[in-house]
Amino acid sequence: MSARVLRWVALVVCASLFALPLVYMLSVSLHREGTGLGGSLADLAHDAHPENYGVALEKMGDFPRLLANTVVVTVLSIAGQLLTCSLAGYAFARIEFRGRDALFVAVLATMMLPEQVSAIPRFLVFRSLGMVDTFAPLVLPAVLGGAPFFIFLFRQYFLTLPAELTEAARIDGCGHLRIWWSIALPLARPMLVTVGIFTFLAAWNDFWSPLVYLFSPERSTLSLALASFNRTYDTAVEHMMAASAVVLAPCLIVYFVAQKLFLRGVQVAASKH
Amino acid sequence: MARLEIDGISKHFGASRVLEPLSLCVENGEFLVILGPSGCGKSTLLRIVAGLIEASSGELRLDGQRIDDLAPAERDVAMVFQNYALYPHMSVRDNIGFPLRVAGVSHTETAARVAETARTLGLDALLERKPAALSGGQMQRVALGRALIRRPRLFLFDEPLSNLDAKLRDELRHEIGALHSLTQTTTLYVTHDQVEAMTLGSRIALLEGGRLHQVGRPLEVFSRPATSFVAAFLGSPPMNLLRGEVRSGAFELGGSRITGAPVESGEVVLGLRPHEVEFGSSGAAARVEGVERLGHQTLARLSIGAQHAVVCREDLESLAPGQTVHLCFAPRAAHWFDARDGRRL
Repeated sequence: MSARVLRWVALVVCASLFALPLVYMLSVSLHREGTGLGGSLADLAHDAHPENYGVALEKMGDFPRLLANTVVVTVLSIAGQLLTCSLAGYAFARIEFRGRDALFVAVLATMMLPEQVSAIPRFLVFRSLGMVDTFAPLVLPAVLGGAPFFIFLFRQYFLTLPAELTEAARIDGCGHLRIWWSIALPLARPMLVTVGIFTFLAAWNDFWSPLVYLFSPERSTLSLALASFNRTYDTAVEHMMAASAVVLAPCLIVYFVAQKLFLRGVQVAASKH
Repeated sequence: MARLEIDGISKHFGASRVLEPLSLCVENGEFLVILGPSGCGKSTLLRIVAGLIEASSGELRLDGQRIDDLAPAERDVAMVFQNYALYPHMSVRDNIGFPLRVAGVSHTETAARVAETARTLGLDALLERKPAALSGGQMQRVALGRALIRRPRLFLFDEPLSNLDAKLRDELRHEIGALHSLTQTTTLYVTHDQVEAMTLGSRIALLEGGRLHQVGRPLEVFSRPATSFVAAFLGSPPMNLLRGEVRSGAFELGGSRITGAPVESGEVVLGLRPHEVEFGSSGAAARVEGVERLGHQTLARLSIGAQHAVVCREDLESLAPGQTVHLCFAPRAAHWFDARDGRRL
């Protein structure tokens, strides 16, 4: 057997392993209510129930509002994250200032702090600012550059840009802010996409922060609504899986659309410095 | 046009001294070439003038005005880099027009000046292309355009032709010379290529180990090198430097006593250009180690005792390795240098 065939077999096995939970989720979502987790794929050929999706969306409540809330939080988080993390990454890569490296290490060190550790003080801060039950606690940490890993990714990417480019831009009359905007950011498209996708997934699927900060049903997000399917006595697994599939769909679409740039970004981050 | 004064500029990185205190003046409209081997500090000097790095000491003045405390953009200089430094995501048009856009020049004027610059450099047909779709020569032309369009007071070139092949290098060298004749902008040009220095420079400044050896017109530097370093660096093949002892006013070489040394006694270095040495029936004896026939001329590699020399002539057809020859030269062909510090005697 040639190496090429072996490679294909390995790829198909891996792809199947990753696809299995998705296929299982879709399969369960189409089974008759009450079938539970035991139904087989073969049953679907003569007894599929796509109406489960309509029922699931109805059970979630005001779906358009849930979707709108989640989109608002996600879009603001992505915009904030890209803006502040790329700025910080540029500064750590291209601006020389006293204590720069020590500060960078300090920023990286915060990655070791689990989010739950700072949850209570953070909640108290947001409560004292009167921001509880608003989207601010979900979005502000991203807008304030609260993702050291993304700062690290941007810094690594900006370090790969030739120093002559920034020097030429300085001579052409640019300050650092203009260099960041006109030269560094357009060249960092793969990293923007990579960080954008990571942030999208984190914000879209975030359950913890909405659970802690959002109380009003009109501010609820999709992840909170999804959790409401899980009840002790009457969990309709088929509806829960149908709702999960709907919530998951945008993640898959975003990934497949931006796949090429995402991979380039990850490769650069993994291979440089 | 402007007059640049470099006054006592030095640079050190920690304990490592890259530039010794150096003073130099580039006159209005002059094309001054800074020539030297890799690591001699020439690019560092250029970057200090551009404002990209800070000098450790000294002052820079452009038309009498201090510029060493100004940001690069405020110095009114334009720079062309060795690696072109074109913005990869911008078209040729945007690259050339970028400095004007940053300066807030109107779209109409920017467009007109980009068109004019592109016409001057023969880039009209390439304006919509991205740098990745250009050849090395075209990229350097775009870099020239980006510098030209600003109409700066001072042009800085950092080895702009080093990444090009020989043919393109010749072509662009000629173009840079023509552009300077056209604009008459004061220019500081850094290179390690003596052909570029000799053909482009109104004057040449030779730098080695962060130290300025000589400043002068190309032919003057070539014909009267101030140090043995300058003598060896300029000319191809380089000048032969033969170390020996002067006793009673005569230099002893290959069993022969050569008169004309400017000192009575002591160790000196005799410099002889390869094309100014002839073979005769008497004179310093040398053994032919190798013969390289280049078509229009022949190079003879010689050994004179433990020292080596090269002679370059058009009339050496019969020469063969192993032969013994006698070197003779006109007294004015001899350059004498102090053996200790290399200074011309």
